[in-house]
Amino acid sequence: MDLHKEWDAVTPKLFGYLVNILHDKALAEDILQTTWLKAIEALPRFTARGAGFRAWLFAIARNECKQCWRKTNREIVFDTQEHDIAVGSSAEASILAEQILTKLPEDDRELLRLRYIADLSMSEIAAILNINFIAVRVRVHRALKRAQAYV
Amino acid sequence: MSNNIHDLFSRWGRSQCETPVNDAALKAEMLKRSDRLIKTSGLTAKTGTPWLSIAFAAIAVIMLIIKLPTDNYVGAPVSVVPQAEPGNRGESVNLGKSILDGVAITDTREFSKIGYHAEIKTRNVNDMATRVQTIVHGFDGRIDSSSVTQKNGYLSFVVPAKQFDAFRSQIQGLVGDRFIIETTSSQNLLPQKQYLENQYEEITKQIRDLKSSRSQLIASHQRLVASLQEQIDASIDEQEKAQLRIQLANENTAYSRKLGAYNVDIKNYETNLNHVKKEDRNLVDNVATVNGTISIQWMSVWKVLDFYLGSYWLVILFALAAIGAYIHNRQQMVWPID
Repeated sequence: MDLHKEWDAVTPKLFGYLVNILHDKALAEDILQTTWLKAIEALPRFTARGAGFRAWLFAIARNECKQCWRKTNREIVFDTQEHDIAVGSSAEASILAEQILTKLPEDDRELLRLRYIADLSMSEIAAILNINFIAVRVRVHRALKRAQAYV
Repeated sequence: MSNNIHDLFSRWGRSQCETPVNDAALKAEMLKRSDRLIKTSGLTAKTGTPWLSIAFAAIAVIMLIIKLPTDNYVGAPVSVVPQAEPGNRGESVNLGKSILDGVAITDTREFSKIGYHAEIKTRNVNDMATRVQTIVHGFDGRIDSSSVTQKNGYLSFVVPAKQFDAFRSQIQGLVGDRFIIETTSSQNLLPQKQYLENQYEEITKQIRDLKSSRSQLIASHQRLVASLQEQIDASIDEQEKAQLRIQLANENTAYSRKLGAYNVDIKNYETNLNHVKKEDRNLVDNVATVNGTISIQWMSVWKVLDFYLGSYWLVILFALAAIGAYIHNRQQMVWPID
């Protein structure tokens, strides 16, 4: 495995995912670093079967976020005012998407983050959430359907 | 659902991707740590050999190899030839094939003697033997012999032929089809019947002929005696009378001897006739009953499984375990635990 290439490919998505969850870039950087450290240390025990390395990395990141919330004893409420919004050609789409996300339940938001920010496949999401592949398909479909209703 | 929402989130997803400010520094740090780890532990990607799966597969193969040459399916039908019972009354029941071949096709009568044997496999031999005995008695039959142990049982019995079908269905109902092997034999005793009928006719004819000859002898003797007596009465010569009396005495002696011989012959033939009648009655009685035997064998749980899953069930089990272990191994991954 070429860690150099993996870093370049995964880090923007992983960092974007963490920022979107945590709404705190400094904290996101810390967790990004911790995630990579843990991944590298656990690499001898990792076997590239089922879902791949990238999904495994996101699973570690999710777990780190949960541990962080457990320590601070709170989960950061999704707030579009505090949230960083990218500027440029897709700014309008981002604003609309963020507005829709505020109206969706957290489970749907998490699914959409993994699907569109992390750019993971259904089977990779299934491995991360430890649920059935079909269930992921159905849940993503339903989340999009609910989101469609708010457009 | 339109693709608009999908496109919207796709654009949103791409816009969310960003690199941390100190990306280069973090990357360098991680790669340095990674290199250090590789140097200290000789890290290589694990191949994840599915050892458990291989072990199960090996056991399955070994069992298959062991099983093949000694394969003896316990459920396979076993040919059982009913044995002649000691109490079998028909002496000529077991007729040779050559005798049967000589029977004319025009005689379509049937005197079928049915033999029955069943092998029952059960987990409770004593209970099964008791139930078989109850069924035999319930069909007006009798138990001729029985021998029951914890592992095996053997019963020989006789039941009326007219109730045989009902009896058989009751026996079949004791266990499932897999646990009973039945053998029913049937033999037409027509040659024996024909032989007895011929004997009867022949002996009857002999007796009739003998009685007729005997009657003729008596009549002839009476005529001759009357004639001699008349001659004796009419004769005046003493010497001639004496000769006639000697002739009469000789006639009486010969008559008595012949009559006695006839009587003995008739008596012998009548004895034979009674014997034939008795044999005929025995044959009819024999045809009217079914002689049977039932063997009961105890079976282990493994054999029960054998019956249901076939001879290779253990091999199949290990093969499935190997597949299951392989799938589990494929899916296994070092995922973080909360």
